[in-house]
Amino acid sequence: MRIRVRRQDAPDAPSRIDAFDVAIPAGSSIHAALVAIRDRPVTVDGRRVDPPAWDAACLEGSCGGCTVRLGGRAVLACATAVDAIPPGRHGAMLEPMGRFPVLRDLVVDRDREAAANARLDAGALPAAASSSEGPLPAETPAERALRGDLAACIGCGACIDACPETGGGSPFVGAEAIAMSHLARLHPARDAAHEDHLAARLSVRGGVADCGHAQACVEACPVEVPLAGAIADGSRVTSRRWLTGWMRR
Amino acid sequence: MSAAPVAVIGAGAAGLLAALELASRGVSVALYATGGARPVASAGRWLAAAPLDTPAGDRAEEDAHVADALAASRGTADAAMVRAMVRAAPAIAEAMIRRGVPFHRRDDGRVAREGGGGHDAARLLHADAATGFHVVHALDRALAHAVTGGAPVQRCAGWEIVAIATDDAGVAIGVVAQDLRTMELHARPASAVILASGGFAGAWARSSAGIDAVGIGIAAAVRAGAVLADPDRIDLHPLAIPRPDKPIPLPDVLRGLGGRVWVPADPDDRRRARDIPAGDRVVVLDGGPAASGRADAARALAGALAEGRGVAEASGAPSHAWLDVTHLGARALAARLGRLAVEIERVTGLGLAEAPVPVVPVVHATLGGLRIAIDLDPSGHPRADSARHFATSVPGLFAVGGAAASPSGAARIAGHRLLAGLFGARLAAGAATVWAESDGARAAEAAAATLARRAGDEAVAYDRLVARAEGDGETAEEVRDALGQALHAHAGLSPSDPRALADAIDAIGARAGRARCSDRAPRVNRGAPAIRRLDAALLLARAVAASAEAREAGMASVAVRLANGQVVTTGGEAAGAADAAEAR
Repeated sequence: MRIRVRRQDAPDAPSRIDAFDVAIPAGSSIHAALVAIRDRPVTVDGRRVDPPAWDAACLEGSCGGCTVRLGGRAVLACATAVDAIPPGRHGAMLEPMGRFPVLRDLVVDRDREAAANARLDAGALPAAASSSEGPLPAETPAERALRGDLAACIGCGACIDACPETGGGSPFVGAEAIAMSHLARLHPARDAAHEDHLAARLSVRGGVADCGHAQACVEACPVEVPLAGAIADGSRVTSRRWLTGWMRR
Repeated sequence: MSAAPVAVIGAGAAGLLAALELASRGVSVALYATGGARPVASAGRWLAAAPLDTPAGDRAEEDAHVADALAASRGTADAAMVRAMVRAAPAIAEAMIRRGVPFHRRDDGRVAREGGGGHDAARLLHADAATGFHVVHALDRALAHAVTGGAPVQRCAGWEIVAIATDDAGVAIGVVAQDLRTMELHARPASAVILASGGFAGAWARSSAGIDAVGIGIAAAVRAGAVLADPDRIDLHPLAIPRPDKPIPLPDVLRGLGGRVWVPADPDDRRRARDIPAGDRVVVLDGGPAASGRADAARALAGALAEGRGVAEASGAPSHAWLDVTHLGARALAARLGRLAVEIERVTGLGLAEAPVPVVPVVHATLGGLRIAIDLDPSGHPRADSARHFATSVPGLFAVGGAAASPSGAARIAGHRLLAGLFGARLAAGAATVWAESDGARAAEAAAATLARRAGDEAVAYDRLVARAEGDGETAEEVRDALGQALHAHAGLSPSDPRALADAIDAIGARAGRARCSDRAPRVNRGAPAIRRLDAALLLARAVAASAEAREAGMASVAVRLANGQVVTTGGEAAGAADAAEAR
């Protein structure tokens, strides 16, 4: 099977494409294909090169560390077959995600995810949860299931990579951080002050209002995190905050 | 000049909680995480605490919980430490609930508990049967929030530990770490070092651990003089879905819920698993409340597969058995275990509720690790303000989570992996604070010259690794595969064979010395770190072989350390009794 890999030596270096022929069983993962290339890094035109760099850790689809583009779509290298998208005449195309600075080859700088979560302060807890006094309120199985679905986000970056609004130095935080903000607002001990704090953070430049509702994130998410609902709820709380602020004037 | 920070190495559950606890005490922290700015590690599907409505300090429940752990370990667990941990468990679980971990709820809205997994009562809290994942992410968000609020935590994201530096007196004074983006080496003073870098089960081929979980942190500690306890002790798992890249372990609790593991009566039966009627199935592991312990079950299944009773997709392919939980149905499965089936189907394409799924036994985790102390008062409670909790034999170096020897001894019950990590993190943060404010601060202040020298040494060593990129020989990655196979064959699921392992390691060690660096790149170089991981795995494999040999000779607990570059067993010490005096 022929695999083409977009190569780049450093953040500001130009990119190029190397093609490799690998002997791997049908249905092998992208990770397995890259291992095969590493063990015999000879291009189709006979050049021996340094193997492409890529990320891998858990190999079970739960750490979200190995995201690459296959045929232009961000997917998990460990949980996606390299022939999942029918390879074209020139073979399967592997590229780094496009919405993150390339460090080398398929390895990108993922700091913008953590930075987005920090901007929305998605780790903030309501006051009652921060103290150790008194029991927390109960939570229905359905409420918990929604938190579980939001918290299932593996931080793979696919939503940011697919989004039409996150390119070109855009300050937009992306769907992942908006989902984490929603998760924080659903804490069983939530209160008005907590919601207001999170809504204020969501209202900043690059916050939920920058979403163009293309829904590309929903399509891209490998975990089916309820991103559309999180964005809708984020819009709801930011509008309400704006309205209450306006009426108080 | 401000005091040197406490270095926390590893950003899994134990490392993140240690960093948060230190920061909440106002202690400055440098958090080293190989994986970068996002959480990566997430071990443990359960968190063991106590059944619902157990009154605080209920002695009968405590006794029963400890008895379960001791029974599973056949008496090899550290009873005193397990008891201290079990006592702390309800408070640890409560803290995680408050931090927003989405624990499973009952219809009445209270946090649910499951039984099974070696427990005789329903003590297991879980969040979609992926509790470690949710705990790590909740702690990571909490730390980000704390940092936003000015907490004194520096995140060294994408930095890999290369060495733990000690002074002439053998006291830990700092770390040497490499930024895996720029490949720059940094030597940083530390007023204490908490190692939370995980275990080394990834050294075994076909284990369920992450591929780089080969114990580079543990190996660095051993090179700094720390003593290992029982490195040959491993945790086995009977229910992993086989995949070419790496098996995925399912919750063993599925057996407790009635899941049966079976093979076709006729090994050549070509029917689909769901079409094979009960009469043509031979049950290897029965399900239900009386299901056997995890390690015993894994060994029994490994034995059946070794006898050729398993199913092979193709001739010569590794064989597997079938796990059938279809009797539960999709709704009941979701009601008990949340997103579990969804997640398994997402990654493997297999529907747990629809048809039997293939399973193999695997090496799941290491139970041995750095020997650590705990400082208990006569009633068995950890002493407040002690600097000895989770202290290794190197003064100033603490170890928690998978990096530390497990209190569980030779076999672990469900929920004790995550519990041990969080328990250790709390105590180690307190102990490291005490140390850092006394001896640690003085040691780190005097460290500049030593650290500069270490940084220089490691830079030279790194250049030598990259220089090994020339030539045509086998790569370090290929040699590591061979080492993984040797561990799998001689110290894995089948009864261990220490001499065969030692012989294999000698041969592989010679190959490792010649192994080629797979990468010449000056940035994001992946070849040189791979050689370091091979060297770490090799050191720990030697420790496994030495430990297994000593155990074969009748030693109940084995201590292993480096002496003049050689792995030696010192043996015989009681678990949990690491004596600080020895190292001083």
